[in-house]
Amino acid sequence: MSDENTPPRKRAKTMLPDGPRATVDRWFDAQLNQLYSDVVNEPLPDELAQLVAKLKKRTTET
Amino acid sequence: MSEPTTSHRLDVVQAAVVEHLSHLRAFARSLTSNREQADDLAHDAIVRALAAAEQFTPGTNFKAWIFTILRNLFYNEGRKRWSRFTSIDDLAGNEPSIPGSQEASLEFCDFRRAFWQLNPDQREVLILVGASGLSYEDAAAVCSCAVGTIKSRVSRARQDLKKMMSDDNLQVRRSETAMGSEAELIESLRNPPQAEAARRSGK
Repeated sequence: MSDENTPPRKRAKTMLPDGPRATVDRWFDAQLNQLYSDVVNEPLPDELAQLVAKLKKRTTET
Repeated sequence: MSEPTTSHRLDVVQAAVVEHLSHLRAFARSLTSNREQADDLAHDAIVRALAAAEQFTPGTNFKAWIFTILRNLFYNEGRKRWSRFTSIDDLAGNEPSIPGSQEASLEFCDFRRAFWQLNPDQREVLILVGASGLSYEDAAAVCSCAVGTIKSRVSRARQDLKKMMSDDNLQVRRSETAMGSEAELIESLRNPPQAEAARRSGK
């Protein structure tokens, strides 16, 4: 954890990977997948969880 | 070969909704930039999809089908209903700076900031093609445009991301903000900046 008395530390800006455009694109895709999977892996809010439960129940009944 | 019955189509759609719900939420989040509104949008899209189950052809791409429903809902019913915040300026000063020990997360934070500064069309295609796994053809069907348009939007979006992450804009904004806690950092990663701004302003 950081010390409250320590001022925010400046750092160098993000260095994009060197190399051909495809390398940079792959780096972007990796970041994008992290952003996306954070949402995909979130627990469902109650309303949607209840909806899913209803749908699952209906599917098993038929 | 006989046509699938209405009941069969409904069963297929119900099962597919359960399977794809998380992806639907993620796509909705990229459109609305707000957690609660994205979930409302996803909910409404599911209701529409169930009502229109007869129109779905089993064996075709369900994800593209329900993404199209969600997107149409978003644009047809007005972006304003789903997007409370439209300006990145609303976010100034709301994003925490990062403790020095978390260098690995910083690159992701920079990417995340740049991503939310892209225009909505660019965010949309990056999510559809780069993250949700749709083909260019399916993404074009979802967006009702030509495959070439999707390809050029993806290319332009990547160029803009590169430009944003290569200039000093992101670094300046980060250094201007106050020191944040680790919990704030994690929260900022999970929530789009607009949602965080809404939470803090109590709207």
